[in-house]
Amino acid sequence: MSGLYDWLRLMVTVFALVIAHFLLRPLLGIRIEIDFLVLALLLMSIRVRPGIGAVLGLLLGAAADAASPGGFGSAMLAMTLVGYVTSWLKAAFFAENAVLDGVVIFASAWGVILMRLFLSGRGFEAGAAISALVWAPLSAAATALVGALLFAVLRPLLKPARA
Amino acid sequence: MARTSRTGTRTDLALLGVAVLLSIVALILPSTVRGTVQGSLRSSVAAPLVAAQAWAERGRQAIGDHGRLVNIVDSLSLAAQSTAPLRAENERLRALIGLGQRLQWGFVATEIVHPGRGADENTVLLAAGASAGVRPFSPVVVPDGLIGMVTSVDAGSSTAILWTNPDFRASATTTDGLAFGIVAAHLGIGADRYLLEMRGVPFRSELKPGTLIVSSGLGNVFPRGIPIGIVLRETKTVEGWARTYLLRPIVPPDATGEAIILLPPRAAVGVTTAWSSAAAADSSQKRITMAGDSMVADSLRLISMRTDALARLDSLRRAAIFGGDSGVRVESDSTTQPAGARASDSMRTRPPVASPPASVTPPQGSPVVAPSARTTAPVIRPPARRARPDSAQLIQPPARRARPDSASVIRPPSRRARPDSAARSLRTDSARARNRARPIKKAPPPAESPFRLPPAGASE
Repeated sequence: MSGLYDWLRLMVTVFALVIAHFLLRPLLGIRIEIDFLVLALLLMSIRVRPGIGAVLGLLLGAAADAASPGGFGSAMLAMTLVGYVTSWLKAAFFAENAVLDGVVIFASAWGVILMRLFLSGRGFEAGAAISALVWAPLSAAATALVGALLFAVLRPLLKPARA
Repeated sequence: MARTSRTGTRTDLALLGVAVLLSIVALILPSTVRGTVQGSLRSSVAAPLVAAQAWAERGRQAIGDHGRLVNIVDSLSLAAQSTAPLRAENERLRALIGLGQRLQWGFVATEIVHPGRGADENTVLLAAGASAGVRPFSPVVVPDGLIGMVTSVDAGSSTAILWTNPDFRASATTTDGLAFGIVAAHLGIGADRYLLEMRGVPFRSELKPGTLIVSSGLGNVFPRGIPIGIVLRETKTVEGWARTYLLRPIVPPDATGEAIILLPPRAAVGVTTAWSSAAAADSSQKRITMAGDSMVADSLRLISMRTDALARLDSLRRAAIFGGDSGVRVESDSTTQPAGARASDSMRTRPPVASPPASVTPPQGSPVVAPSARTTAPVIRPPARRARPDSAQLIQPPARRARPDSASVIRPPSRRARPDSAARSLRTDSARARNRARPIKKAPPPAESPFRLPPAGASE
């Protein structure tokens, strides 16, 4: 019963993050974007096996690709890899260290942005370097900051599953 | 335990491989197939997410548009505030150009420089001087009418007094020229300070409120016909031999920025055509009013004369019986059918109508003699006499003039029946009718006082 409530709380949180990704991020409309989908993927992937984490990453990536006009499949591949890796690294992830959480989230978010950038073919265009080396780290840092705060707040509710 | 872990790892790897494979397939799909898959996802599973994203985009655009719209509204408000003066200036300049086209020659268009606060507000500076032909006593006009007079001139500018100046005087008259007077500033208190007064109007000349007052042309300063003001009311004066009327000025003292100075040659020739439309409108209104008054007066007079007319007819019958064909001519338009005759005369004020006579209704109060009564009236007419053009008013035998109901026939406009002389036609017809009746029975001379005003428009 307790596990069911944990999953319900997790699903509500993930649903809220997904909605925030598609609702709050366009509403803010700023160049430094917070990737709420990565946060949702990390929240789920640390509770499941790496294979399930990869499938969840595939599904969230498909949702992200469906809403973006170009580079269909890039987010799917990037988030699949992120879901698998973070699920595999869940022993290290979600330690009692917010900085470490932030570093993992930063790396995941930047990796997703870079993979999407290059897999969609936009990484070789003019200005891609600025996007990859300036705006992508800034967006990843913003995502890490929001994620670290979120995880710190929700830590009592969102306990990672035992390996 | 280790087997389970290895199985789980293989499953995880298998799932990872499938997921990666699907992702790569999605990446390498042809663009058409990729678009189809993406579209199907967007319309099915991801539809709520896409809708939420679109709604958020619209919200962000609305937020951004709000500030832009506020800026646009502010800009439009500023533009609207500056449009009204521009429109007024355009209309003023357009009217000035129209006045210039009507004047055609002999004028100088200039700007009026109003003095600042504390200065003499009744004197203005004009940006045209002697080099442009301006001379002292040149009239300063605007499209609405007279505004002032040049008092001093130098090479490039001149000074003029406005009509608000206590020294301003202008000989004025009504548009019909019946009343003359001197127009000057009304030195009243408060709002009355900016009115005019027309002094020295003869006591017999009573002006109705709304009468247009124009310059009379007397004095050789202001040519005749420049509108000055409109009669508001009569003011009480100590003089008992003249009237003074309060006028509302045609031109506000501070509403002009440009004006026209009439040069002396142009003022000498006259400018009546430049403002003729306003004067004509006033005269037309006055004529219509007078025509209406004449119609009512004639109708009342006809009612009182009808009894006399019947008695006169009896005397005519007796004269015909006892005198035979003695050449006595009976023109019974004022006896047997006065109302019909005057009704047709009254219709001269209207354009000629070709409708059947039966549809014409005489004015109320005007008795119309029935055709049967007219046919029974004896006609005594020398055979050699020529039928008059307006013989519809005469009693004639039906064989000579086959117009059974000629009392109500509308005649075509003759040379006397000009539309703008309706009142004159009415009066002349009435006078003619009275004169026709006089050979039979002399009417007593009019017992009117010599000091009484002649009928309105009698001088025309």
